[in-house]
Amino acid sequence: MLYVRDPYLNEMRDQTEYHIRSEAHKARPLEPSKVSDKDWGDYIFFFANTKGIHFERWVNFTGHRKWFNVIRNTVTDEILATYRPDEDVKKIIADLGIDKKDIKVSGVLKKLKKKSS
Amino acid sequence: MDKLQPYSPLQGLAGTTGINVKLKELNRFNLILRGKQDDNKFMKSAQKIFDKLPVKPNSTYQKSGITIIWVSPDEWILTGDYDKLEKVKTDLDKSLENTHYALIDTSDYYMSANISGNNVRETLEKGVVVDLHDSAFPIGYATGTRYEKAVINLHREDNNSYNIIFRRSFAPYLWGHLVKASQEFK
Amino acid sequence: MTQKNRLPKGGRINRQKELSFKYDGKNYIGYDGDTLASALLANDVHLVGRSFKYHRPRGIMSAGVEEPNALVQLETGEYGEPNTRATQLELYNNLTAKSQNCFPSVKYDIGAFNRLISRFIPAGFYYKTFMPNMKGWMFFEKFIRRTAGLGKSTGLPDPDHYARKTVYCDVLVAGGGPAGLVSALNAGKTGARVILMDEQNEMGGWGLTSPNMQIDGKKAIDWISDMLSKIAKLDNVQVVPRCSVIGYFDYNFLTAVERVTDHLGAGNGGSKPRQRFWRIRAKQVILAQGALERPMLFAENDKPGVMMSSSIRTYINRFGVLAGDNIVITTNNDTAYFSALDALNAGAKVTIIDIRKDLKSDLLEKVNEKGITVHKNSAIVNVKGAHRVKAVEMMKLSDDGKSCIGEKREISCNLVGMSSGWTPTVHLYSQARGKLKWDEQRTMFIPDSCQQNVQCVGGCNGTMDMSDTLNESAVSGVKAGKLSGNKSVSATKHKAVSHTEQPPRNLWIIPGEKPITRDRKHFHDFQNDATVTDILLAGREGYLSVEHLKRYTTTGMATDQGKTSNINALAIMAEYRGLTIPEVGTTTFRPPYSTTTIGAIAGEAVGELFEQDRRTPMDAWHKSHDAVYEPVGDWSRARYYPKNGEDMYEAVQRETLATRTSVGVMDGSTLGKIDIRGKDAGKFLDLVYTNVFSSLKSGFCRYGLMLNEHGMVWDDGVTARISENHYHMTTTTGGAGRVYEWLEELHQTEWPEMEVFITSVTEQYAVATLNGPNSAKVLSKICKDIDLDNEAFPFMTFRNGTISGIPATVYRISFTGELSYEINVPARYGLQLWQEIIKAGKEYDICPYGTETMHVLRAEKGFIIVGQDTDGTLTPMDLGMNWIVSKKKPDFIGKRSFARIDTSRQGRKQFVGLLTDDKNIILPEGAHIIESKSIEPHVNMLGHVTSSYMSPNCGHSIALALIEDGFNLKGKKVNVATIEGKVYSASVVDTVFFDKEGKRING
Repeated sequence: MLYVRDPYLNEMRDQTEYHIRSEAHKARPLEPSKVSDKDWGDYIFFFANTKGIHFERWVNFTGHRKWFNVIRNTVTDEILATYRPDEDVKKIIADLGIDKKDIKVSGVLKKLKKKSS
Repeated sequence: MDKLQPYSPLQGLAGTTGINVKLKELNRFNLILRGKQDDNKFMKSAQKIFDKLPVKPNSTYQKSGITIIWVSPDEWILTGDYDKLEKVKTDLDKSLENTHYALIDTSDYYMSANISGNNVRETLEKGVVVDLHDSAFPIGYATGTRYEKAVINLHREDNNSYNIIFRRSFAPYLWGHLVKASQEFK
Repeated sequence: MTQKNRLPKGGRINRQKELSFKYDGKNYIGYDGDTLASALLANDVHLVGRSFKYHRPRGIMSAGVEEPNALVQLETGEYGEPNTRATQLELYNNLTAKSQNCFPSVKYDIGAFNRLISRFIPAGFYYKTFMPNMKGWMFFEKFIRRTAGLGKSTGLPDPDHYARKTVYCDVLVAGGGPAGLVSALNAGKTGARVILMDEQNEMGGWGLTSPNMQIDGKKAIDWISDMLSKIAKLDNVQVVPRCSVIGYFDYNFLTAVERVTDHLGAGNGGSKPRQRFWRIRAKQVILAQGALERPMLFAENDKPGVMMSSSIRTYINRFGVLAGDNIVITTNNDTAYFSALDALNAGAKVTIIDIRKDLKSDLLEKVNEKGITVHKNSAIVNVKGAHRVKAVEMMKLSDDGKSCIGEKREISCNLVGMSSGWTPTVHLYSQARGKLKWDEQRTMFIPDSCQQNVQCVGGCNGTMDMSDTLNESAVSGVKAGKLSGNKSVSATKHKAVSHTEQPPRNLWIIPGEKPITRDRKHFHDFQNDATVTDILLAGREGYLSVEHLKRYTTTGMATDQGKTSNINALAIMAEYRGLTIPEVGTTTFRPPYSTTTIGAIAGEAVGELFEQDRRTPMDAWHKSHDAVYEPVGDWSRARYYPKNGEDMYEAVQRETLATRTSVGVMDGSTLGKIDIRGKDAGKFLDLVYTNVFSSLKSGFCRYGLMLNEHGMVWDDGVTARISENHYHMTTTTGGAGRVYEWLEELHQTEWPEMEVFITSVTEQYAVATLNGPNSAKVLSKICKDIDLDNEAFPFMTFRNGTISGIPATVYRISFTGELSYEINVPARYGLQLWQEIIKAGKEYDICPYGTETMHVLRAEKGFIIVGQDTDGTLTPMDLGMNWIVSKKKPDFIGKRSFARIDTSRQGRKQFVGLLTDDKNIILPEGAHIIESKSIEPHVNMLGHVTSSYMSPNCGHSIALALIEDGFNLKGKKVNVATIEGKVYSASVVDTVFFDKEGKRING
């Protein structure tokens, strides 16, 4: 059973206090009306679904009810990092020494990044 | 004719009594205070009423019979004897006016109970999923967690005394579990 | 009666406390401290069951968890338990048990008939017989299933109660033998929180089997006591006997089952739980589970009286039982010699048959001194005796070990001990995803590497020497303590008297008199009755991989999970395929390591405590008025209130009519309620609803539709504006949690810059809704401080006041189209409110109604129920709700998706009403609207009925449906088919059936 460092409590907790939801860092386009049908479809339907380094979003439902991100290896179930949405994910990736080519994100992310985080 | 008759879902359900594990319902108010920890204006205004709002995760602060429990970087639970509700609410609303805050009375949504005794931890560990050892759960520590399927806030008020805050509709379920869990220590 | 095989002294049993027990109807005596197996052996009872397939007589083969044969039916009635391992069952007074899988008795068993046809029922026989003949299987299946399994479940509810617990520790030590004791002591000295568990009733492990072994200058048995006292002085070390660690999961999460009161006898536990399920999160784990002896695969090796050689020793030293006084020990390694010596000292006559060619061991001298005959390069080719070993037949082995040569000799005996080497118990390590490596020299799979924080010590690490074991355990203990954040200490040092092992000889199949395929049976998996010829058959038929081998032969699939059979089997397959053993590999190790009751896993969460059954504050009234309930999510809501023996249909017709005729009241407490506050509250709501809320005036309410990002309807509810920066949102009952989480996700991850606080208040209020032309009259009797005049209190607004002194907020919103008041009070007064309403409504014949009537009333007005009429694939336009979609807002959740090709195309399913030609026909919900009048294939499905009722207010049946291009079909007829094949004709109409002009809303 996964054991994760809750970044708000800075404590280790069982996964059973969390809901594990979908892919993290899928930023909603700032102006959806300006986005093409294909790009919009990619945003709502396609997920990186990586075999390997995966970025996902968890939420605690027993206490603080805050959302945070988890970098998990979907093959080994190793959790590499947990971080709040306002933390610098680029720095975390660099500190962990993850090779950029091992990171697969939904293609739409590259084109439609929001102004912040 | 207009006499108020509050009704508790725990009415008629046996608790446990004894030195080893005692479980009793508490008549407490429950206020949820929302406000950002890094919002100075809000923090100062709140601290006018209670000189301190706990900011360390899962910490508590008690003064004049009011307990303040940290829930998240923008949420606290305030609890204490039910008859103090009006004054606390009025004082806080007044002081926090013009700040970005919310103060919500959830005294009926959430109920409180106290469980205490020599075997209180052996009873709690049957359903709670967090570490109850002194090193992880010292006196004054409070956290949201589960007892079996019921989401609760568990606050260690004293060495062998814990306050539990839980939802009204989960009361019979939680009570049934705690009573059953304490049976072996009677 | 005397215990024939009980030694005059020795053993860990308490000879002062005699226990009576009954086995197969006969009474026996044993001692406190016995297992059922040791007590049976003490009474010279070896025959304890019949094998699974061939119904061969079977005896007790071991002294522990690995036991494949001695599975007994324990007790009868509600405490009855099948397949209980006699070797782990602690004896208690008046224990009753019997043999399994035999009829009428274990001695005279009809099932033995199977032996006559055994040639025709090897592995794979069911498959080959029935695959080409499925009809045959359908017929024979029921008979075959009846013979399946060994014991019988009583079918009665389990009367015991169990408990669970979740604990955290720094170091968990699994196994309380010498290795585990040393690890725990050393870890304890660092100050770590240590838990030491062992499945036996006392710690000691191998030290109990070999009590005279010299450790640190003492006898092992005294050394164990010493270690336990040292450990007892450490407050931070918890010792848990009778506790099997059964599962090893991610992040050092392990499960264990503690047998708390089983040893006191069925039903004697008092207030203590019978068994306790431990859920343990450990920072460091030390596995000290030892190793298990392998059986030798000679012909007829399954007879009662053939045992593991170390078990003979365990019975002597732990239980004071000499299972037979004329013993033949057959072995390929040195350890069996110690069994021989202990047996001799206990007074038995012992002969050793060693398959090794040359024997140079110092043990050889020792046994020769004692007069034990040793036959080298020899093997057993037959075991004589039906219900008990009488003799063995022995031959010499050829040089290559593939055949037996020379004269056959008979040696009389009444007990055979066999040993073919040791297998480290690596199950938990493997469950932890630890990798194994093959040690060729010692012929064993040992732990290699593991991502988790675990160390293996002693036998399960492949360390067979006791000194090495103890020193490695000490080092592991301090390491585990240090790594889990405690202080550094130096490891204790130990010395045990050693013995240099002579290499074993590995003949995986011991040859017999004839070539193997025509020889007698050589069993490798005793519980599933699988023989070595089954393995060779699997090989010949192409089931070569270890996973196929396992399933084809059922090796390792019984309750012992191959503890004594797996390595032998895969070694044989390796030889057959000409591969090395590691090339064949092992199958996946899965929890539980040993069998466990389901009760333990469930703990206290059974019956009423299995799951929450959420009730509203008014529930006491509903209950006492015979409400029939319906589950809505995890709530139990009143569905209808039958009177005078009404069925649901009758009750609902009455309630529906009464509400529109006079007044009805419904408990609406379960709907989700969310408090939304902050200067951006309105802006936030504009994003999540299809319509505009930022322009809503304070004191007013508005119905809102919530979509997901695909543009599909996802939830709905009425939201009121309390003040400029304060809204009160409601959601559906089932959507409460879901919507709350969704709003938080949007705010925290997409729009964190918005100043808004979202807080659930769902159960803060109890809600009672008055509906009907007389609702104002009823309300005015109990509410004196709100002006109920329609001008003063318009539709879609709310007012605060008191009702019989209870502070209340009253919303004029309606889910029925009638004059309605939704009254919210603090939940603690919900019951009082309801009672006051009922009392006040008496003169108007107020009718309490439930969810079923609520469904009918809203359907009469064409209101959707999200999740019933919608299924996540419908846009507001599909539902005919264009009016609620704002054209002004540039963006809201779901808007962009409207323009997608699939969302905007023609021919989408649309929400319409249906009126059956025959007004008395109530279409079944789910009925398909089809293109033709006939249901003969192929029939195109155009849609389905989502809601359907008899409407007493309309005087005919009504239905709501989703039909392709439905709006254009209005006025036309369609065909509706039921699952029984009936086809009805219905007209497509507007969704509003009653009070089309909406006049009734103001009473």
